[in-house]
Amino acid sequence: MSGAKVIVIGGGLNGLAAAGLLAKAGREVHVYEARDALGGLAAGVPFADGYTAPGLLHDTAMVRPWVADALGLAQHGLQREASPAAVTIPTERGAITLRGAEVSGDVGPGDADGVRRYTALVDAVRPVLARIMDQAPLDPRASLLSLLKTGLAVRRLGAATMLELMQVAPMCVADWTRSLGLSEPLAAALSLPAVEGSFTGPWSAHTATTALVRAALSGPAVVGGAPALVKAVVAAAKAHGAHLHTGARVTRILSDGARVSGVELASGEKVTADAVLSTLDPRSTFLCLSGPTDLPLGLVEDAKRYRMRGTTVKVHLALTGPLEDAAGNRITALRATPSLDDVERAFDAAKYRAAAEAPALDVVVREDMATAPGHAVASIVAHAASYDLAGGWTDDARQRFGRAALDVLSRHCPTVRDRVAHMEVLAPPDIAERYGVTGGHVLHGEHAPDQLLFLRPSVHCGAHRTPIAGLYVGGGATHPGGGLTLGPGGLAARAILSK
Amino acid sequence: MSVTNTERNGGRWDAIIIGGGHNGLACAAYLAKAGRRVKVLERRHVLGGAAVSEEVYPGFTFSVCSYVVSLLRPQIIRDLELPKHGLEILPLECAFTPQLEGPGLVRWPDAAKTRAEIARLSKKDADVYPQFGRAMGRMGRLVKPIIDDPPPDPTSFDPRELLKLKKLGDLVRGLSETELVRFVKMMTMSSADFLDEWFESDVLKAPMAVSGIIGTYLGVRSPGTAYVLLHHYMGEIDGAFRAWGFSRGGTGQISLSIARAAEAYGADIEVNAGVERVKVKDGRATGVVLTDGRELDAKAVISGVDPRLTFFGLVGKEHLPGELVSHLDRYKLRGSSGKVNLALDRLPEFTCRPGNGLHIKGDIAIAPSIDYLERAYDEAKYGAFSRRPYLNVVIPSLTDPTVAPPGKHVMSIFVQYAPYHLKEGAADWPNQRDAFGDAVVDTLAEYAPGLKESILYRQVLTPWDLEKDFGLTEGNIFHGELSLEQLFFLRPAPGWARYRTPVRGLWMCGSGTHPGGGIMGAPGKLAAERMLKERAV
Repeated sequence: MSGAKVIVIGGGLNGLAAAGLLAKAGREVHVYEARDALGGLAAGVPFADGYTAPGLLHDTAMVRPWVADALGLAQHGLQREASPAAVTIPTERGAITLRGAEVSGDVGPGDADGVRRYTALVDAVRPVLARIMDQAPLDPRASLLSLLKTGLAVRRLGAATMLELMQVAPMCVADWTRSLGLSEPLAAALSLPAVEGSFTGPWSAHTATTALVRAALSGPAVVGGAPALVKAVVAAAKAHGAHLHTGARVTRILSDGARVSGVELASGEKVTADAVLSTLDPRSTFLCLSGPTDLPLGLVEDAKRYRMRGTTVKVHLALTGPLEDAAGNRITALRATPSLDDVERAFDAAKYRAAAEAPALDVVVREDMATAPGHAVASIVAHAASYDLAGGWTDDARQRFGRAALDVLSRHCPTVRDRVAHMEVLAPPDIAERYGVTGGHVLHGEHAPDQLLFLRPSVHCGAHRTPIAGLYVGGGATHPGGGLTLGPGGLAARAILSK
Repeated sequence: MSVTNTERNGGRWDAIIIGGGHNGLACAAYLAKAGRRVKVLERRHVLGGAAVSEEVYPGFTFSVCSYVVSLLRPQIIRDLELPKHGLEILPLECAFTPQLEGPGLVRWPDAAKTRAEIARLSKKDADVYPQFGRAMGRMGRLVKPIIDDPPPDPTSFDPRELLKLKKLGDLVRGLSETELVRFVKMMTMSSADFLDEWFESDVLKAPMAVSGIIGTYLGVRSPGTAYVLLHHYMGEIDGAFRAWGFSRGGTGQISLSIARAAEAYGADIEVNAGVERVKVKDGRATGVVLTDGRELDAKAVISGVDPRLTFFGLVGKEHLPGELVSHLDRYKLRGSSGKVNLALDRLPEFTCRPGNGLHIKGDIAIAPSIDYLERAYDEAKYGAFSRRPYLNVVIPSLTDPTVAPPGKHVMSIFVQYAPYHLKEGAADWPNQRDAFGDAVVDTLAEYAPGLKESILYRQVLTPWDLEKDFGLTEGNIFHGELSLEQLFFLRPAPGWARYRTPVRGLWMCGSGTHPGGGIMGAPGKLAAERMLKERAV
């Protein structure tokens, strides 16, 4: 059915990547994006005159190479940094600088060795994790042969690494990082990526897996950050012939319950298609866009149960100068998390419909995204606050959270307060509203073991196919999960093409 | 009690077992039954370890630590003919959750009555409750072969091991889609999230969720607790699934009945016999040195105490491979619970359900909501005992009058959370013991106002006390957290999950080995079987 028409719902990175791959394979592809901008959570966010934040999510280190290669992103301007970015980790006396596997600065006695052991495990398991992430999700119902292949890949790690992996995987990241003998600020900083975006704290079991996966799949960041990544993916999709429509909200997926026939747009226009790929989260796809009566009961139940309790608040600062520490050193990336207990306390708040009083901050600073010379933008992913804040997310509540974040930041960067020309605080409901993500969950749902692999987002559509013929899913709520990876879009396109 | 204190003259023992807890005794019984000459050494003056009954206050017998039985393997009861040796389990039938406002919830032995109780909270939950029980029962049966067999070795290429792995794989692959999903959820989710998928009423969910946290340093919202929920749901007495019970005469009777069986098979059991260290020569355990200076030699030394005490306390790091040392350093013990035992002048009366009917005869849980439980955990996470703890209360004297004088009662209160590692340091526990006891009694008295006035005697056991008095490192009642990374072929350390240790002739048989803690007896039995199979004794 070469040339058959495919509709992609959602012009985020996954939708765009899938569109590009499908168009490249000769399909007629139309992407419908409700917002006026393409790129979804990766799109640049203009938030003050002359200042643009580098995406709601700003970590571009996890882009899957196979998708980038298949799309030919390098030919469309995608470049990756030559070396890992330096991350500043404030300590009581000064700061630790973490660059890849190297630590320097105010390090504790066990830090160098701890990071070495951390990196050793990450490096050892990288090939296996990459294999798992880059293919259709592992499924115990699959053929014994495919399972054996993966089993064999794990066995090839050798007994010691395999046992260490099995032991570390179910752990909480706090236990893991502490067992490596790392100093508290460094342990906390390495733990933060494991809980970011999720309804978890560093003392939650399985977060070591999240940390391990994220570290193992991270390569060099994209030059120019998330907006540059969007630009390259858009250019590639267009070059391959995909049609990209913005400001075009899909309001309904049309099907007879057995087979999809197209979509209906907000304008009332009905567009027919042979296949529809939704990159939205499962609640939007299955409960809002498709009539629940069209779906098997199990899928509807799963979509309702799928956990999407957003805890991320995004803070954008327009700065009139660079972000600097007390000694005047310039900072490009910073994780402000004094201790594991502090990160855990921040999560405690989210459990009781509150917002952290001292949020854990993952800060990226870009001087190229402020138009005025010498000015800068700080993009801050802050953990954690409840979507369903007691008393509601009033302007006051947002301001309070922003000030709390600024307090944390000024402990290490005393001059930041005087340099803030403008601050934007996006609470989970704002993220939900602006990006159409249920619960404001920036990962499109928890990365918990029962919501990963063949269970993401449901056992009924874990391999990007759904029980409705021609309807596919391919956003962050599908394997291999949320974040700026292009993986779900790539795998969804592969599933459609293999049909 | 017919424990002999006589020393047999001369000769080497086939096996010396360190610790007369129920697992050590079970191991001894199986070895003796197979004709081996076995010696059990217990440091305290009573047998039982943490499954012990003691008359702490005149006329009142406390099940000092462990207080209910559910997982004792039926096979052991049969093999060792425990009823003949005095074991009698009295079923514990009710589960009562008092409320400060509202009538509380009682789950009765009678399904229709339970249904009516739950329907008051939620019609939907009342419908779902029996379905949930059936689903959990199926899961329990699925896990059962796992706890009744030694774990496989996933790193081995031995065909027998591969076959075992395949069997496990087949078990999972044989599940229906619904069961498969449920299995994954069960193994990984938090009990709060897991129960959220079934029920809507917090009053029902909270007391159900607590079985996922008992003895662990986790909260009801911590991933991984749903599995422990199953561990408790699996309880079976004499083959009947999901039944919980008291042992007549207190929990110690379980240990004593096993001890009598062991003695009947010829084992020699000695109390007041603390082991100072394991003798190791050329990488081989040759016997033990006792605290009184005696030295006993044996073909095999079997430790029933927890892994850290065994290896670091009795063997010594110098005899161990570095890898095992680092695993044991990492091994999580971290006790999280305490115990308050009360001698009572009269029965407590709960405001929400006056009278002393059947509802107080079972298990009484102070677990009013999921958030209450989670907050109790939050305090512990940062190194303080819960001011408003989760309490699991039983009054065994209502079921078994032999444990208290006529008209009087004993109350056993299991308390969570009491973290071993206080922020002031574990050694500060003696200073905080009374405040901890007060917090427990005050909390319970909110629900049963006359309680304080009825207390004749109060025994407070903090994790510090559990360590000092019972030899449980860091006060962990399960000899190590029951978390996935410390279960199955990883318990207590990868590569050493089959009762064998790197020190030749030294074996393990306690709760720190597969399948873990609780009064199961399975580690003791499996260790004995393994040793016999490998001709280690």
